[in-house]
Amino acid sequence: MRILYLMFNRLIWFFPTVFGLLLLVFTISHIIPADPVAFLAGDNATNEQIADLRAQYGFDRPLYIQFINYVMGTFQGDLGISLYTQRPISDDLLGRLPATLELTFVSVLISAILGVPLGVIAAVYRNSVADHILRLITVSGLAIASFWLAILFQLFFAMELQWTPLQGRIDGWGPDHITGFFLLDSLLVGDWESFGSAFSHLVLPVATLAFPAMATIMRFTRAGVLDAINSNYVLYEQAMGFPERIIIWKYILRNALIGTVTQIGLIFGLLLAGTVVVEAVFDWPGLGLYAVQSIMNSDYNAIMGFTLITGTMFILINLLVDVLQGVMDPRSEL
Amino acid sequence: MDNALLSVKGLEVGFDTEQGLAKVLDKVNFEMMPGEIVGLVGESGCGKTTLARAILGVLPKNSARISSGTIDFDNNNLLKLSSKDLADNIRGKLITFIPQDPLTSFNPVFTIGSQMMDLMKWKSPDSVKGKYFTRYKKSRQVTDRKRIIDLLHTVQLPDPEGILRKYPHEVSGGQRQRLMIAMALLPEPRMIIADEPTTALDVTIQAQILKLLRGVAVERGVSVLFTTHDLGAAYEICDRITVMYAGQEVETAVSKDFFSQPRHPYTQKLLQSLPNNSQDLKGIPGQIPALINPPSGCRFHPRCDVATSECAKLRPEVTWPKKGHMLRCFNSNSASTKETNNVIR
Amino acid sequence: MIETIKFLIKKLAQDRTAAIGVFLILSLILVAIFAPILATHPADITEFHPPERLLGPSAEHYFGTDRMGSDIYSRLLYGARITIAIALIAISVSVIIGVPIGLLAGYYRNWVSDALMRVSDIFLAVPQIILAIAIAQTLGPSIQNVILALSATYWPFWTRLVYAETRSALNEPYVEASIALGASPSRVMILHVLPNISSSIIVRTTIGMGGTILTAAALGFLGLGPPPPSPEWGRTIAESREFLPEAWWYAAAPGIAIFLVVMGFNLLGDGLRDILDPRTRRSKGG
Repeated sequence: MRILYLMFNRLIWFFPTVFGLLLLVFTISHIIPADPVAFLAGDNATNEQIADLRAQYGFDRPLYIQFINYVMGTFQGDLGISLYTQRPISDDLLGRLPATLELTFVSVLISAILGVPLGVIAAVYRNSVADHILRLITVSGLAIASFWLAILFQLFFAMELQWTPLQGRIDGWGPDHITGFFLLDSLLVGDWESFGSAFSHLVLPVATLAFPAMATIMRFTRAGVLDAINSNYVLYEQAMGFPERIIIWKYILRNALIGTVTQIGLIFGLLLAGTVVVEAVFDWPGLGLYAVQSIMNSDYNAIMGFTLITGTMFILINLLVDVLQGVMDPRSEL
Repeated sequence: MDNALLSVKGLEVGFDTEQGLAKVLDKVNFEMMPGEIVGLVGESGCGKTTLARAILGVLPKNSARISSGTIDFDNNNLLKLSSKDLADNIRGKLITFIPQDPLTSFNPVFTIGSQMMDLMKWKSPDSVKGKYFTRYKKSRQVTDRKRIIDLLHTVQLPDPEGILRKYPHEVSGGQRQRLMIAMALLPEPRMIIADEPTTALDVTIQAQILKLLRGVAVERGVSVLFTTHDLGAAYEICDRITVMYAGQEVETAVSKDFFSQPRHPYTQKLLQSLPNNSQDLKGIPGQIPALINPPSGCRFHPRCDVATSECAKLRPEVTWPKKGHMLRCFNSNSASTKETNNVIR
Repeated sequence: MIETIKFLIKKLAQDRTAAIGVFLILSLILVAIFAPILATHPADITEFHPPERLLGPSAEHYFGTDRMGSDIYSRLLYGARITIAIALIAISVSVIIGVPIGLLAGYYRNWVSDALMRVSDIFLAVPQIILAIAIAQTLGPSIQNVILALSATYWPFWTRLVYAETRSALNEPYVEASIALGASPSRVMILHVLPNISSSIIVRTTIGMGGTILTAAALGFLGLGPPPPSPEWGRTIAESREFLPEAWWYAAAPGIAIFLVVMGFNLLGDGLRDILDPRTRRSKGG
């Protein structure tokens, strides 16, 4: 009941925010450029072609009409045609979505599995050698440029040691399409060869993306645990002789995680942003690579479509985090 | 006294601070009989909470230094036990704890019921010593749950089943402290340490809680170490009262004598500072000393009216002006022995 | 004020990690200022020597040469100027836009402040680099446009922060008192609220510098930064990719430079947070 109420309450904000996002993207695409049509048509277009395009895209109409048409089109799934692939942008984006989602989910999973326990250890043994080493790792993780880290990984693990493939998502055609997640699909059909290949291709991009994400998770978990360690309830639990491991890994961690969960939104933001450059380096056929190719080809509509879909995903994730936080913290207001 | 339940001797505790070592307890002696309710009274910073935590063995690990002394519980020096032994077999089993602030002392994200069941999993009278990895058997859960419900009735909480499903912030302050008392009793301990258990409560509820605490403790023969800065609260519930000043115990007496015939100058001033009908409010001139560099000898001497040069040199030895009345003062005879006519409530 | 600065300097000197941060940032600034003197081949920013392309590190070329035969060390030094210019201007603009909006939205409680916060929420609803990509792409690749794109995407961070801090500062007794005494809103905001929240702004700004430098480098890497032959670090790394693994030095130098500079700002930000956070601060009343 509480969860339903929470979800409803947060969902109210979803639509205004998406509307705002549409307005923002519309502003960037229709108002900022001096002449969006000339932009669309490319450098070699004749005046006649530009005039045709202007009428075709409705740029000759008042701005608010353009905006209404834009919103209507977007809600019908029409994001325009890609200049580069000559296909509907929505088809392009949806086709590449699973690749990016797979990469992001695995990265979040790995960074949480590593970041949370390491954050706890750093806090419990604060100011120890372990804490200092972990702090160095966090600081580095947040300071390193992900595209550079990606290149370093390629240089070392793929070129030098040849442990992993250099780039791409899989060798061969990949498993039969069920969900679009190669790891999952290959497991579902029992295609072990594809699974191994998909896995080995995932290692480096995931390592690149997970590093800063893990650093962030570690940082917030450490801070949360430190707050909890000095709390009255931990003093009480100690005074009542609860086992130390239960105090740390159940009572403290459960409280500290509330703070960490609120940062998952931030972490997803880091990852979505990271996918753009990481997919470019690893030639990973997802949304990020699509965006980079669109940049190279000045495929203007495609970039706006990409911004819209990533923005919407980000809003959805933050919505989910809000609900999750409400569920995890019984004190939070509904 | 050999039959003492708890006997603290010459306990010296310091805290590392930026400015140096703060000498928070100065060779403190303290005793409790089985079933006795003893008040530990003093201003904040006098070391009463430190003493309570030292007995429990939960002083902050990286700053607290225990340099000498013994804490014998049931003729067993707790300072010699390993921290694991203390946590497993003493704390929560033989000695339990009632905290000052019941709101922040409950874990905010678990229901009251789950926290109580967790306590019983490890600290129920049925739990086997040293066996922490055994599963919490269903049959034990059922008996323990019945114990919890019974005890919630005992501490006069309405609708125990309903309360167990709630989160700590969903019940009132008075109810939370009743829950804390219940949790302190659940393991059937021999002693309860109650650290200012009513300070965080509304004045109207304080008396009820104290009465309840005394009632259940006397009924079960459990000793209670009760720290407070509130003399009224101590009067309400204690058999005996020990006064501490700046890390030194200065006087111990049974409650009646304590209020009628206080001997130590500090105790007298403390009692005079209580509001009453006939006199104006009196403060104690001067301030509590810094414990980094405390006054030598009797730490009260800079503020004492009857202090002599002797007081600054040596800490007075224990004297027994009356059976059961312990005093550490050279000049108690020159201090006004007239009975303070304080009427507490 | 002078007291505060003295206090800060003393504390920073005591905190080893923060001191390393200060050292790294000062190095960056010095390198940027003295690039023409320190550079061994200052002309190589615009000049090419194709016969000398892709030479390894040597006494002549400390960090080797690039695909055009230009000296990477010299280009790296000039790149520091671009990095500093982008980060400094973009962050200043963000602060100048973000802080007043946050103050106003925090001080007044009406539909305007709600609307302002909604707008900043929408900007925050898109990951910064993606919004910056969209804007930079629209405007075309140039230093000015990178700065514009970064400013347009980063200001809401300060608005959010200042808004929240202002709301809590307004509950402070002395602020309430000055309002009760009839101080004008601008007086309350500038004399009472702003000084009180300035430490949070300083910390956020320092750490924000690191983030902005990373985003700017990523934009450069994606080809949205200043166009060639600019020695911008991100672009240099992008150029190096086709010559890996043989010309490893090509990518190494700019990558390490980015890492050290961002690290410097993050360490300083952490140190400042420890010093300025009232919870960990020992003495020193307002």
